[in-house]
Amino acid sequence: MEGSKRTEPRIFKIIVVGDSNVGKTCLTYRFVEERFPSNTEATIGVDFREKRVQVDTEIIRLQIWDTAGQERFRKSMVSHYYRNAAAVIFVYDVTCEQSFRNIPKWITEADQHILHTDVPRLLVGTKNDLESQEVIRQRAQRFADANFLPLFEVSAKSESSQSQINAIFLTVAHKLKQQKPLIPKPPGQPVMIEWEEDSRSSCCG
Amino acid sequence: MITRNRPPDARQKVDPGVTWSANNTYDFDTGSTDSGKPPSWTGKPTRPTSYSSVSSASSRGSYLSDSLRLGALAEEHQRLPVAVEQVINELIETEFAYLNSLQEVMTGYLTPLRQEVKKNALPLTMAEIDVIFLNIEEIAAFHLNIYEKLCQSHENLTSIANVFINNSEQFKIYTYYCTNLPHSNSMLVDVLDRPRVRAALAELQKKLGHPLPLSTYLLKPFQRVCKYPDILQAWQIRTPKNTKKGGGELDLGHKVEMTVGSVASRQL
Repeated sequence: MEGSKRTEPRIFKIIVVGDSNVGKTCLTYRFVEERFPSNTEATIGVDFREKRVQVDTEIIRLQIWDTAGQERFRKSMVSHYYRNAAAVIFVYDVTCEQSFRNIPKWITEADQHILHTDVPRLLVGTKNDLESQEVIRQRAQRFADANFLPLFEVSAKSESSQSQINAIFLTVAHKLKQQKPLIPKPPGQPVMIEWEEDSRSSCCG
Repeated sequence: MITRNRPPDARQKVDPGVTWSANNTYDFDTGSTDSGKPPSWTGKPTRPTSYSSVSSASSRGSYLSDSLRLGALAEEHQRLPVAVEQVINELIETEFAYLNSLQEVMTGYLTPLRQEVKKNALPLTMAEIDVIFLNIEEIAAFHLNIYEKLCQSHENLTSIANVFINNSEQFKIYTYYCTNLPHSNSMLVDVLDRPRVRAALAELQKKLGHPLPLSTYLLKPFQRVCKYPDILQAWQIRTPKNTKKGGGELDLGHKVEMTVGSVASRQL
């Protein structure tokens, strides 16, 4: 069995933040499940979504922390969210000016909690399938450039955005591949033993 | 030992993921950062219509009126502001729903999985089960205790606050749960790669009648602990400051909030 033992894929924690109702849950759901959730409610605290992606020859695991936008559902846990985060995705709603104006607040929060300067950060504008666009692309681009944030505008709702949304996370994954995993194994977690479909007799039995 | 009546089935069945919604009738947070606009993009939440009735004392589920006599409480304490009563009702009802789902996870998933593993019938180890379920049993036992005490303290608000204050130290058990939940999630993803485990979990989910998978239910303790400061703050806001009695409760509510709120900071 020794020979068939694969190395555990590295896990990277990506935290998604932004105002409430900008579509963080729909964005991450679209990436992980490849569809638009039929209905969502306000996220309480956090939700985890995990997906394996292949970057070059390596499989890595992206653990996406879909955090609550509403202050009251997150206040006690904020530092917990940012701990060991390998990347941060800031999300605003292109049809909601205020959510864009609040991005600096989210950046400040991230600055306060993330000590490493080399943690990749991205800016994502959602709901760009809607007509009532309040945040025009050029303005968002200027802001993104000034803050060294790659900018993406997407719609988690439209099927055609799937590849674009995948690209967002793959961009992050490529960056992260160069780094070491930032989620340490917890103490006491069992050593993984390669498992076989029908091995009734365990190696230590 | 207290006998718990079953909650209305409808609410349990359709309310698996989150016990609370930002769009429900209890918008406690007056100073919310929420823009307040309707969820035009994410679609309307499918909150069951029965849920809104929770806010009205008259149409509250009989299981609560029977066991907690909250209706009687409202009549006896005319001075009690309606808003405070709502907060307390919500606290107790959601506490019950929460306890219920914890027990479903244990009896519906944890126990059968352990039995299967004992029989060597599943490609899964006890250690992996421990990583996935963390200390959920400890949390459930704690909340059964809390719930029983809440039921016994229908007399007054101070006793309700005391339930939390006297047990505040025990909230530390959430530190372990919340800190390790990401690892639990990863482990679950791992074991779901094994076709037989995946099938077994799907079967158990079907038996429970849960529309959403185990991972959603494992989030509940995290969500619950995020909710306590919110509920207690609502309590605090709704409690009149000018009454002597209210002042005492305000203080208690504040103490509770501090305790629960510090769970997160302790783990860092």
